[in-house]
Amino acid sequence: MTRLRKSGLVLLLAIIPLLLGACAAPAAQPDSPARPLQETVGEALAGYTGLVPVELTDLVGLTGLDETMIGDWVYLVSADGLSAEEVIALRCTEENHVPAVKERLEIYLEQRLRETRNYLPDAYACLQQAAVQTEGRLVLLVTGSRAEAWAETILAGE
Amino acid sequence: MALLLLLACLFACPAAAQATDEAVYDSFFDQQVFVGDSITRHLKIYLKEQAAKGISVPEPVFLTAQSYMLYTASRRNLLERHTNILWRGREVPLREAVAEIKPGRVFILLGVNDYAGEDIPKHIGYCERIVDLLATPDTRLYFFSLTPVTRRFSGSGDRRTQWDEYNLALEEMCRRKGAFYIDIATPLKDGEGYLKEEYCSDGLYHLSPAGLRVWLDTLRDYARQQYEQGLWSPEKEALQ
Repeated sequence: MTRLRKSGLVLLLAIIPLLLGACAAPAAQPDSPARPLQETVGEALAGYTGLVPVELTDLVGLTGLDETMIGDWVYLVSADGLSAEEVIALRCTEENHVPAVKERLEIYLEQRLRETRNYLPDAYACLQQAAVQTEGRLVLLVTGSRAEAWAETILAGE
Repeated sequence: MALLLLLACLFACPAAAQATDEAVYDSFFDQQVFVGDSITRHLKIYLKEQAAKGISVPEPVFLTAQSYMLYTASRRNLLERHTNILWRGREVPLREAVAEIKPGRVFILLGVNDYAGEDIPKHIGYCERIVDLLATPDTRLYFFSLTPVTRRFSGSGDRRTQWDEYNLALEEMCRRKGAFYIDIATPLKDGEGYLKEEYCSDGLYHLSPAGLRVWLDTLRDYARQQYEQGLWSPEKEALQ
């Protein structure tokens, strides 16, 4: 083999690993962390100020929700205490927790309906339109006159 | 410069002392139970709102439901066609939730959904049943007076007077049964005995933030009196 051929072969052998490396599949990227619910909900509310934050422990006391199933949460109730506006957004730690958490929020919604029937007709009418929704690990209950728009934005952000 | 520092201390020290006192009096209510309807539910929301602003406020456990009635609270068993307390995912009679929480103090404001002033003996009877159901050597009961109502809600039947008479009967019942009565009505009234307009949020009987602030001040005043009379202190309570 001529010296030139040998050199070419050595060069080829040297660059082959480089070529293979360039063609290899990109290294798997870690999952991007989910956007904090506080941000998503804040965006959905678009400056609406009539809601007050409440601790998750309150919801636990009412519904028997298992706190260990919840990784991130937002719980907002109407500041005037009488209208139906509420946002409860719960991101579960695992997707298999979603049915159990959904059930708890449905219990909460049923109680709100019982409380307002024959007492606060406007709130009752709003609550009748509400339903607990899920998207991935998110369980969402939004009630009130702006519920549809708020829920759409929050779910889209998930 | 020294004068400025002195002036700053003169203003800051009383404010700091007041904040400390309030925290002490607030602890009288921390983790105790407040039972009520939409009026008390609104107190809960008001306190959460203050806490969210970083303002120190009492932190009781609330057992409330909009449209909750004195009658329902007085029942031993669940009333299926009534609004009940939701606790840990179940509708429960009040006594069951209180028995599980085991508070040292239970504060109750109920009666407006019953129109309690329209039949005083009947509704005082319900209060007596509540005492019998909930009071133990370790759990004391405190009944709030019914809060005043507006002229509009008072109407031709003069609920203002009925409410006042009911409150007198409630106070007497508390003395007789070993419970405690807390008058939150008087500081909320105008010169004619109606709910002051600025303290009302709906033109009827629900309280505005200003009215809820009066309620909070009345609570703190009550706790202060207990403290100054040597009937309670956080230190004594911690030892129990």
